[in-house]
Amino acid sequence: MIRYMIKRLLAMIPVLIGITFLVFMIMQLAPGDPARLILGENASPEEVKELREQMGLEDPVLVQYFRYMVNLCKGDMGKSYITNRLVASEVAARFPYTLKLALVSAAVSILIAIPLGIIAAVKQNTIFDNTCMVLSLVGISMPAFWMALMLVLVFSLRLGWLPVQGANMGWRSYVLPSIAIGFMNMAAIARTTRSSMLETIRQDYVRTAKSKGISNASAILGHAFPNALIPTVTVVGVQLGGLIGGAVLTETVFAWPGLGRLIVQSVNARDVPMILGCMVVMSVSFSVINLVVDLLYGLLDPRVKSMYA
Amino acid sequence: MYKWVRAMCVVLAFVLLVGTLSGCSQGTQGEPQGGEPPAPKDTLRVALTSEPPSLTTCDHDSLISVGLNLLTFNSLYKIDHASLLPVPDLAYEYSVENDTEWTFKLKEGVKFHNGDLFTAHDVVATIEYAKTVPGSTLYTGSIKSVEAIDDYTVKITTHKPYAGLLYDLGYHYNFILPKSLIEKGHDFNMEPIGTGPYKLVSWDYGNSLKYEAFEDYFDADHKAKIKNLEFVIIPEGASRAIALEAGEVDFVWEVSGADVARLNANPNVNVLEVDTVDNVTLFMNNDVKPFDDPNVRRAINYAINRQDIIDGALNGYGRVNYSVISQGFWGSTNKNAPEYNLDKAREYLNAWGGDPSTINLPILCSNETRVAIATIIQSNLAQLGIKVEVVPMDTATYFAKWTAGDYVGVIASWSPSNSLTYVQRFHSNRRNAYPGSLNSPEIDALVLQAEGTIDNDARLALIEEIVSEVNLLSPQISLYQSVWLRAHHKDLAGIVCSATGYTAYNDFYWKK
Repeated sequence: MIRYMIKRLLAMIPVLIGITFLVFMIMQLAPGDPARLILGENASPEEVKELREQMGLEDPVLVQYFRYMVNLCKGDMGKSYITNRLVASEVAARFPYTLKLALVSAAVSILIAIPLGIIAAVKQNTIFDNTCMVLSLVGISMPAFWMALMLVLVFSLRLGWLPVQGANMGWRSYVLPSIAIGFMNMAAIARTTRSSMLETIRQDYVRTAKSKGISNASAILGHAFPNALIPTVTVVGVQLGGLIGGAVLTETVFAWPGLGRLIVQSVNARDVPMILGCMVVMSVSFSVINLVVDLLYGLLDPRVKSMYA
Repeated sequence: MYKWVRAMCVVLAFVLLVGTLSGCSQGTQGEPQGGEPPAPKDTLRVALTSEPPSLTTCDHDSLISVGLNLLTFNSLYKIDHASLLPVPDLAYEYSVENDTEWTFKLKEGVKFHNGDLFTAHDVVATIEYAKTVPGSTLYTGSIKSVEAIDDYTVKITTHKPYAGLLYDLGYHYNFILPKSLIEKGHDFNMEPIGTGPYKLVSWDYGNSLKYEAFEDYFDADHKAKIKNLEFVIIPEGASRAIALEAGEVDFVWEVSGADVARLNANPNVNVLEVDTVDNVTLFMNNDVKPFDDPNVRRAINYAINRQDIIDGALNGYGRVNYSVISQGFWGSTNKNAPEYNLDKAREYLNAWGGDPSTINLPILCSNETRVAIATIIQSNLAQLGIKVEVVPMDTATYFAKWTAGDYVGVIASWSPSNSLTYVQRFHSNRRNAYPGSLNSPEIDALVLQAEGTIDNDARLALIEEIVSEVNLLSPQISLYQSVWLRAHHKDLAGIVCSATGYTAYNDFYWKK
């Protein structure tokens, strides 16, 4: 198991090199000069060239990339072109907000969606099942942006229960953004859990367990549910990875100071060091989440665990 | 299991019912109802649209950053928010010898936030430092030398007679920094130490900036009246408006037109319509045929219905402008400006002599509003048989294209602080820097003459002459002057919003 984990962690290195190279090249191909954006329309071409030289943008692209990677290996992500602040410190300031929101949203969606999915499967074709699936459809179809605004209008403006924006009000700041994100994700988890459970509860071993006299609930929760969890864990892992990249629209509505907004601002400003810094953190996080998901497979299914050995 | 299901259904139904009823109710939006407790009256909370790229004076061209620079720094002369003319700030008077030597008498007893006393040596150090920063040429390029005559007298010598010096000194690049910190290589972005009415307390990136009043501020009339000032970054327009209604912020720096009706219905909120000198303009590449012909440009100018644009794309929040220069500046004039007239447009097309259906005008647009404007222009010009192509793109690409001259038409805005800066762009030496610029020896001569005319009355006449001549040539087509929307809590008073986009937060106060 440990060898497997080390192998997976080492495999992140080429992934990181590939991602940084790809992003670096895409940003080079994209039109727009960061020096011109910083100096504005009033600067002369000579001044723009001078600033480009100061920023190292006049060097060949591969030289710039190599310099970036060497510095990255030393833990230096460089300085933002636009704000001149250290990328590492800015990403470090934003990442905890994104991570916490992602975890809380995932918890909200898992805690609601998995029971709903199980009950919907057990009560297949009843009014409960149909209601759950309609709600899931609504959750998947509803734009997160609209949902977020509606939540703010009702719970912040009309009822005055929760803050409109920001992350400075403790747990209360997390409620609306995590519901807005969680509701959307909840729909997918509930549907996946239901389908997977429907398949599992019809398996012979569940029937055998029931015929041995154990209760229906024990057969479902003790035998069927763990085996039905693998697709759900996969969906949750993918969703969590997506949330680490920042739920840009939700962050925008709730003025959440997370990575998503930072990336959008940086792309608009062609702030390559900041974009790369964010991408590195997101890639590592995504890889770690995938690793955790793979390890969970092992815990859930002994056959998968035996493959690690 | 059934019990559990029933309980869940009841809870769900209750939540939906409460949400629906409260969402649909038209109850009075009285006192702040948001999650945050009511603002203590020694604090002003302002919602900004985005984070400032920098708090230094010399490495940005951002309206938000300049607004924050004005809190922490002062200049020798500043641009008055009402008249848009230069008025004394850290200097109290000046005299000019030989039209090139400007001697400024400085105020005594002014303190920087770090306790240093402001002297002429700080002025010298600041301007010499600013001249070394890329991007400063427009603001410091006219200055040949600067020297301290004594602690409170400074002499600035310009390369040639230059009437725009006082305006240039009011730009952020020339905001005064303490010499001792410049020499130490101080990071003014992290710690913007100046002489301004507020001091930065903290900057929580992506979230908020907190300031507190500078007790030793030198200008008693404009000393900060509210002790604590906090800026929160709320990018989404609807969220900013809701935050104001919920009492989480007291002042919204940019209100979306779509939210005005709702805010106006709230008795605790006032919405301000600020007439600005921000001139939104259709620039055409005058080097590209047939736009090099003034007859074509004039025909297009006559054919665009500005009121259609204001009503259709701006929810009515704009002011018609036909002149190449914004109205409201000292020296603005509408003389020779073409007003909407389709018959005149056809006359000018006939004078050109070509086939209008061969004219293709792709217009670059950087946001949704500009796309809407270009679409209206498309329908206006279709009446003349001219084809317009609306080309939306992201801001960085748009900016790169038009600064490189890679465009035929582009919608952009420009809001300089004075009319001289405005007319300077019509000189042919700005041809590579600005779209819509001219190549006219007569205009060049007039611009140079205006730049070198220190006497205000004589310069005023020259600027009016330049504007009326350029109006005839129509190198660019003014569409409208922006009306910027601000909103605030009804108990907030002393609100000063300038036509150039700045807000004097130090003059705000709470009524009770």
